[in-house]
Amino acid sequence: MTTRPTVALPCALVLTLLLAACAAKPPRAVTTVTLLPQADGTPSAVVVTARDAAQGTTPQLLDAPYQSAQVARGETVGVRSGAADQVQAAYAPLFAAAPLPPVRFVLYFRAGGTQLTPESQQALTRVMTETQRYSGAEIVLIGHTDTTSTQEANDALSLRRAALVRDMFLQRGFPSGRVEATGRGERELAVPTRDGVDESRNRRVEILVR
Amino acid sequence: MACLAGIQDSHAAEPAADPAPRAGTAKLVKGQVSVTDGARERPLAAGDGLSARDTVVTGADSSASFVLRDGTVIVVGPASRMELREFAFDATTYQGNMVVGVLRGTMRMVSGLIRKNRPDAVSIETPTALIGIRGTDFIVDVDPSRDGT
Repeated sequence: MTTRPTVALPCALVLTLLLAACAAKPPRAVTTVTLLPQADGTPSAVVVTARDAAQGTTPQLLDAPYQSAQVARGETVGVRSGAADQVQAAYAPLFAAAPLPPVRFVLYFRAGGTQLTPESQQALTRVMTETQRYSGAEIVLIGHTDTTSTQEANDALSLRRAALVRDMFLQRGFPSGRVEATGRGERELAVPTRDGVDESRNRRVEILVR
Repeated sequence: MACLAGIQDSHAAEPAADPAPRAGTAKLVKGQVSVTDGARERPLAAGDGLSARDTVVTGADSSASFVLRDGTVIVVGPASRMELREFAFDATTYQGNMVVGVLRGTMRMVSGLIRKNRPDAVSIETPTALIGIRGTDFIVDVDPSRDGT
């Protein structure tokens, strides 16, 4: 089992307990894998393979919501279809304990630097309010640039922008272990442009509260 | 680092001198939930970090959810044991890999950016099955009281 006695027991007894625990444990467990629909309705699939499968055993593909596959005794035991209400009832704690979906905010910067536009400064307060809805709230800051300058320079600038916003949240008392600043340079343009284009909507920090 | 560690030696790993980097954060924690890294066991609370090689253990009527750095959501159900065997994620390039072991009980996973970038970079292992992901949201249930007979 998972807990270990903190008091020192005679060796023989410990051994007996361990042996008993081993003997009581079944050699194998049955694994059931159930596919759930994706939130955005796009297709989804998982492939289930038996460990120690005999040669020639084919993996089972689940590609319709609420289908399930079972694996026992080194082989997959068929694929079954299921219904939403059955699955949600059978696994209620896995639905009840799911975290809130993340919310996104975007802050914009003046060209070439790390100065926020005035509207974006006000948005910081809204983000702080939003974090109070989340248990174990985190703030993820993803800096972006437009396509002026080189990729290396933009990686550095995007990170500086994200780090600047991180400092603002730290000043407001948000715990440092739960705010992460990263820079993606010009990899993810909000408005696609050719290289070397000054575009204010691409100079931004995305904020993810989760 | 965790990304170089084989699956087999994850139990025998030396305790790291520095605290392991955060792979994810606990969100909703209900009932008796603890985390062990092989050397120490600690109770889990919302907001706590989860690192590669941590094992989450839940009691009866207990559960815990986590969001990993790439956005992957993991919900661990009652009477369960889930190990984050490997986790690496580069937040600039979105490259990474993840191996999760479900030793007992139930787990739901909604996969994130690592899988989106490279589907085969995420795998889930149970005592009897290997699960590869081509989509995002699914449940794994390991029932040790049944042996398939």
